[in-house]
Amino acid sequence: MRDVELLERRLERERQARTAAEALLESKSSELYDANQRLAALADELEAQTKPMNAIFERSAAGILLVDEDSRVSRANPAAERMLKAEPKALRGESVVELFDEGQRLLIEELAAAAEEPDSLGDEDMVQETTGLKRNGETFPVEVAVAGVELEGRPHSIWICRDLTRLRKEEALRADLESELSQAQKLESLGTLASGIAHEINTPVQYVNDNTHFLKDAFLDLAKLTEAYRATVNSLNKSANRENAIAAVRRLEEAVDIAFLKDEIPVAIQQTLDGIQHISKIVNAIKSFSHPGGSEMTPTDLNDAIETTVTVTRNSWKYVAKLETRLDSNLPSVPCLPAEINQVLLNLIVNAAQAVEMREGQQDSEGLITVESELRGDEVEIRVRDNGCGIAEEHRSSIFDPFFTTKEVGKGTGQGLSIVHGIVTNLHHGKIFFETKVGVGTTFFVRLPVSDQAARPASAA
Amino acid sequence: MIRILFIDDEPNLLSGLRRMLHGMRNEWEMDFADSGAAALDLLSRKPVDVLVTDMRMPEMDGAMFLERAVPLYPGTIRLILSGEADAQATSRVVRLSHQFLPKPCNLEQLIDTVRRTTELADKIPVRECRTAVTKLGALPTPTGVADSLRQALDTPAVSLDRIAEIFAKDVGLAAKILQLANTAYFGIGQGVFSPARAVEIMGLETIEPLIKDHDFAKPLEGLPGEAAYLEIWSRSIDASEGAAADACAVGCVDDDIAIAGTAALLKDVGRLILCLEWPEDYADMLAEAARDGTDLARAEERRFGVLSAAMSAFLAGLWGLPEEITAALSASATDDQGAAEPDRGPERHVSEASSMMDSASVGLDSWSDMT
Repeated sequence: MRDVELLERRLERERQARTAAEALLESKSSELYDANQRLAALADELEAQTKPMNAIFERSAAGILLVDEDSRVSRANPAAERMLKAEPKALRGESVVELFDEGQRLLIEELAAAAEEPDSLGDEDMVQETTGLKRNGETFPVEVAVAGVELEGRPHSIWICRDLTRLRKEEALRADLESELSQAQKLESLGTLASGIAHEINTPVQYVNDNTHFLKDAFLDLAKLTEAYRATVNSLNKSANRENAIAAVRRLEEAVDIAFLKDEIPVAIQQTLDGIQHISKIVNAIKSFSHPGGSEMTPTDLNDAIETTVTVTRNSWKYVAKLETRLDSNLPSVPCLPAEINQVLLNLIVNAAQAVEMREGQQDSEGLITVESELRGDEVEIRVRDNGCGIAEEHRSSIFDPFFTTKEVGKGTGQGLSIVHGIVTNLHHGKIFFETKVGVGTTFFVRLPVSDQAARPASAA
Repeated sequence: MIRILFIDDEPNLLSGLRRMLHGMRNEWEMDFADSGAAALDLLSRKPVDVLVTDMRMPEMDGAMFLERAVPLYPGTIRLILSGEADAQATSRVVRLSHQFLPKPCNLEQLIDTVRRTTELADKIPVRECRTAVTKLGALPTPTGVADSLRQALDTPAVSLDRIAEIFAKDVGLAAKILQLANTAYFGIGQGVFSPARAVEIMGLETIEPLIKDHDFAKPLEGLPGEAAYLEIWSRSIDASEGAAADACAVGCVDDDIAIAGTAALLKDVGRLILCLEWPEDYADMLAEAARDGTDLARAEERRFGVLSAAMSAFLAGLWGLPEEITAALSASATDDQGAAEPDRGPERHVSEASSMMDSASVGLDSWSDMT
């Protein structure tokens, strides 16, 4: 019985133990399940967080490079691979310096080093325009923005690259358009001048021609007369013919009007030479004026440019105004684009003449345009002054605007002063402004820097 | 002696002319003025036959000078000697001057132009009749023609051929366009024989503003002498077509066909001028000629003291039409002179005058008096 009892008690203990074990198992598996559930939720959450980050990385139009502390690419997104014409994953392990044009290496190394500095974040120097190097050897304009980041305890940098090829093309196109517009304006002003210049040249050609005709005939007359003189001299020893010969000479002298010839021939020659000189001056002025010039800044004598422009525009002002020049003889050469500066002067002088023409109620006083040059410190100032109609108050703020014109349709495109403004301020880093009083006149001031440094054209900066 | 006044603001130019033309001193009496004001002053003291003026001058330019001078001295022959190439400026003097000599102009061209015009003027013994020619800016255009011209110009993208066709069918328009094309107002000026070719050379962009600004197509309607004018006018159009067809039929070259057509078209310009200038006298003369059976040219000569054909030739020469056309017109003046002699068969001319009277009767009071 004792044995049975013992057995029963043991059985009972074992039963209890099994129950406890079962309970434990049950509780442990429930714990495991819960943990699993939590893990799955965490994984979902994590995935939900990474997915957009990955999508941004994979789908971004900007090229993204993750660069390690040895300046080697550890990850590159497809945009970066496309931009650099690299096979998928081929960029991994490349030195970042190799992805840019050789001449740009110093800049790239500096950027890589600067990214490690903790205060570089948000520094605008961390965004640079440079030249990328595609795997096929082609180069392309690219903007890189570099930022430092710590990953797995190691310093890394993120390089975001934007391909500027298309932007540059559009900029070039716009520059071309601007240059075409400026060229068109130049042609327009030259066209306006053309008939005036024709008139300017045709007048001296007329009198040079007339004088030459006269000299031709005069020479024939003189030759005849000389012939008669010789006959008279020859007849001196034959007294019978002498009277006749002298009478013949006198008749001939009268017929050719020897007194007229004696007075007029020297003057005719002088005026002919003057006329030819006048024509040459105009032709030279047109030549130097219409010379297309380069895009290079050339040291230029601004006084010469003023004289040239005054000559080619003569027909625009001479019927309405007197033009005086007061030029500073100590003017240094100024680095500029000569053709563009001529265009500025042309526009200002022609405008001055038109302002004089448009003035009302003061026709008694003589029209006057003054063009002055003066060295002021490190600038040359050119002033074009007129005693014309002045600029109305309401127009003053818009006269440099493109397409602004008060002239009637067909008299101007309204590009003149806008282009003048662009030439002075953008191309020459100069200043242009004016003083005006309605009914009294206007003065335009153009200031150009003398030093080469300041005058570097914007496009080369 | 032909009296000529040269006006130019450039003293060197004037002395160049004076020297070059010194050889002409036995034929020409020349004066030189360096401004429009000086020229007007000189004119008030001494009449001249020919004015040769620059266009661009300070203060009073060529157009302003002519605007003042033409009403005072309508009988002058007026030539522009200018280096101007601006069409807008040129259009201001078109109406006021007869020919445009472009600077630089050579001696021969200048002398030749003055000689040709003054010789043709000399064939017209009556000063008033000469003046009637020199003061004429343009001949009026019958309403039908003026309307179709206006319509054509208002038509978008109208063909130049259409415009040319209209010009060729009007005496006044044809004469004017030939003047513009043959002298250097808007180009180099060259031997252009037909109005259609002249239109082609000038181009629409030049013609259009001229017509609008300078009433080239001034309407005839309402002017005294309208009916007679219209009759002479329509005969001229018929004659022109006939002459061109005849020339074509006998196998003439294109230029000769054009010359024949244009000469016939312009042959009676002198008649048109007489009829415009003295409408009542002309109507009266027509009536008388019809009654007496007098030949028209002779009747005109008797009434006005001139051969109208000589006026036609003068106008052609004055307006710088090619020598071939002027010569043809001068020849027809000589024919008329012959025809005007009483022993030459007058029958054709008699019928001409009477039939003109028939057609022209509508506007003529004298005709109703007679019937």
